[in-house]
Amino acid sequence: MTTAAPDDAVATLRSRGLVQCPACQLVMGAGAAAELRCARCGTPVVLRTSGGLGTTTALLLAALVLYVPSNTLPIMATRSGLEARNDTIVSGVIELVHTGSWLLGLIVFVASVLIPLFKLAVLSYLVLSVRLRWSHDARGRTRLYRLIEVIGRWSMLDVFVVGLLAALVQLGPAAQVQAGPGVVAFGAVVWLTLWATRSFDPRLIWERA
Amino acid sequence: MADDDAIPQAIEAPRRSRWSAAQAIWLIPLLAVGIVGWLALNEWLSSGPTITIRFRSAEGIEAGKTRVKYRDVDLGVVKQVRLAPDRKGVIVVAQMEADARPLLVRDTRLWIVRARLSGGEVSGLSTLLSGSYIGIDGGTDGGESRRDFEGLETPPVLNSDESGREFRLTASTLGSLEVGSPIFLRRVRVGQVLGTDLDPDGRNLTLRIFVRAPYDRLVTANTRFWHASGLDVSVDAGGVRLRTESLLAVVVGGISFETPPEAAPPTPAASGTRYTLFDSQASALRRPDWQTLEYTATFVDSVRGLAVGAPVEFKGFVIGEVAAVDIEFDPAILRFVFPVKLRIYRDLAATVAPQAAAPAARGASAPGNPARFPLEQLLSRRSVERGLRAQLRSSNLITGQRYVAIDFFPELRGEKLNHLGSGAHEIPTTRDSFGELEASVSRIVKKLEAVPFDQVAADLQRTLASLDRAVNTTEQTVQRFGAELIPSAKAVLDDARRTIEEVRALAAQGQPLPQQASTALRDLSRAADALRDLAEAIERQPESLLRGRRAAPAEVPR
Repeated sequence: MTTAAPDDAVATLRSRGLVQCPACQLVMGAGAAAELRCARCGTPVVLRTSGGLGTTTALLLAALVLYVPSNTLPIMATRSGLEARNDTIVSGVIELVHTGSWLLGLIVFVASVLIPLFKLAVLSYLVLSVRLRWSHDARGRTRLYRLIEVIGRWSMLDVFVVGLLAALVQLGPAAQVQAGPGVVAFGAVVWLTLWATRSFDPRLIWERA
Repeated sequence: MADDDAIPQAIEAPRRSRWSAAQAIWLIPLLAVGIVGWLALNEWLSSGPTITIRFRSAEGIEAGKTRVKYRDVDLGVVKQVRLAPDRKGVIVVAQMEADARPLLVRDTRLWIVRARLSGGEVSGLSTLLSGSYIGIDGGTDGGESRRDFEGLETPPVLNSDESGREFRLTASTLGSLEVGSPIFLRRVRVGQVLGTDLDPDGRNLTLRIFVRAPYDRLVTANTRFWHASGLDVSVDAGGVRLRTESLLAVVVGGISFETPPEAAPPTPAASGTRYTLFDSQASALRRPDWQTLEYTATFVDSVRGLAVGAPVEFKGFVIGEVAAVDIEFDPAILRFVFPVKLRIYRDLAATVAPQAAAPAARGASAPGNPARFPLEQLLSRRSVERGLRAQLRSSNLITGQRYVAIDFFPELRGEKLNHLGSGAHEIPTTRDSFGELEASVSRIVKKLEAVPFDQVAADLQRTLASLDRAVNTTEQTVQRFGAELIPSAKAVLDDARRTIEEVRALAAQGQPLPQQASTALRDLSRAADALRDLAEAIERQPESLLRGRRAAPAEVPR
């Protein structure tokens, strides 16, 4: 399907006045209207120019905001006959290291502290770079995007641990584990970053005004 | 553009609402900001002030773990424990919740709750497992709020909102009382000891006690408090008494109180009223001063066995008690005398028999009441002239307890004494029965001392020696008498028998009996006379056996 070569070195659908359905991959003519649907499956087709970055930005901001309570609110309330304690993510990691399980502490630290932070940082960087139309090192940024897409799901580890413990350790007055409000915030952060990552269109990195 | 025909055209989908998905997505960060903002606001609102508490030691307190609890509700947590700058205590920093704000006022009290045993109660057992916590009892005055507190070393006995009244007791000794010791009213536990303080001069103790509502209304101005600690064994003129309060009081001590019956309806005493803590129930329930009259009776004899509190009896009826026993030197008689202070109960009075009521009622009674004859009138000058005296008497010979008896002594009637005149409260005394006995015994002893016992003894010894000799002589006499007299008496009897036989022979022969018989009878009569003379002579003069017959004993006419 050779057509007249555009001005750019790389031809894009957009430069040819075409769009592709994100669901069924059907390539269609874009026409003049801003609001389009797939001719085959009816999925709304969003042109990047109409602000594909907006969703990512909104979700990222929400995740950043919720990151604060996810780290300050307790994620787990442990009550035994002797004592009652509330742990945040960081205090839990510290407790693990203190009691000698430094390997476990490291895993939790990486999964629950480092990865979400890294994701937030990378996403912020990507969004900023697209917004500010930076042109350098587009290849490296794309690689970063792939990376956060892969590791993102691992940060749900803490949520699973708390969920399991809260379900299993219900020994009445002897010992009891309950999920704290922090785990909700933390889960929301993870979910929001996942969604934000998905909504980010890496093609934007390559797009230049 | 032939290929273009193969490419379908995307459907134009006009905007159905004013909100596109791209715009709606911004609701999510808005929501997140809202939630976080609300959480932050909540946190900011619910976090109360940070307070510092100073304790002597931080035993059992851990930063980040130890809670501050009010009625077992968490109101805060200890954030930090550090040494006080002067190193004489510890400073505990606690983050309080907003709910605690009204509790943090001037008279708020904080203390460390540990397991402890006091006042017969075990408290804080749960802290053995869960660790100590800091108890807080909010102030009530609602005054200025405060952030720096001085912690109590012992938990306060009461919550500040417990209703009741606080009183003060002055005691001379603490006994086995301690903070938390129970207060009993008729052995019902109605309160507690809040605190004990030594007075600055060190002479007395001030006890702060608390009586719970509704029993606090039973404490009136006239109420008496006494030590109910342990056993109360008393030996008095009435014998031996043993008194105990409840078993708890025996073990941990306590205070009892009672209000003696009053004429006026009792009005509850004001909070903080000061009372005296008596040593025993007996001393506590003694009549108050306004119900007694003070008299003095000065005794010259020993007051041994007369104790303070001993009864004063009028013909066996208790009318008062001994308040004090003193000693004085009376230069007039050059002797020590013992003025004994008597408290005579004013409220006791004899009821006057109806027919005598008219003349006797002049001074005493209120209209409507039966006529009363107050005891003050008994102790009058007129009575003294009739022989009224005070006397020490023994009530219990085993324990030697004595009491003061007031009685009429008819033999002392008419003696003019200057006692019990107007205003004078001196009851004349007479020597007690012991004293009299002692005096007469000493008189006897004096007389006995005048007897020359040495001389009497020498005489007696001499007498005994001569008596001894006389006895010896008599013995010899009797022996000789036996040796000499009996053979001759036998001869006489033999003669007599022979004579009788002859008479019998004569009678048998039937010979001229009368003449011979009369001769024989004469002989017999003579023999009998001689025998009688001999017997009489021996009887009269036994020494004749020894010394021979004295001349003419028969001169003495018969």
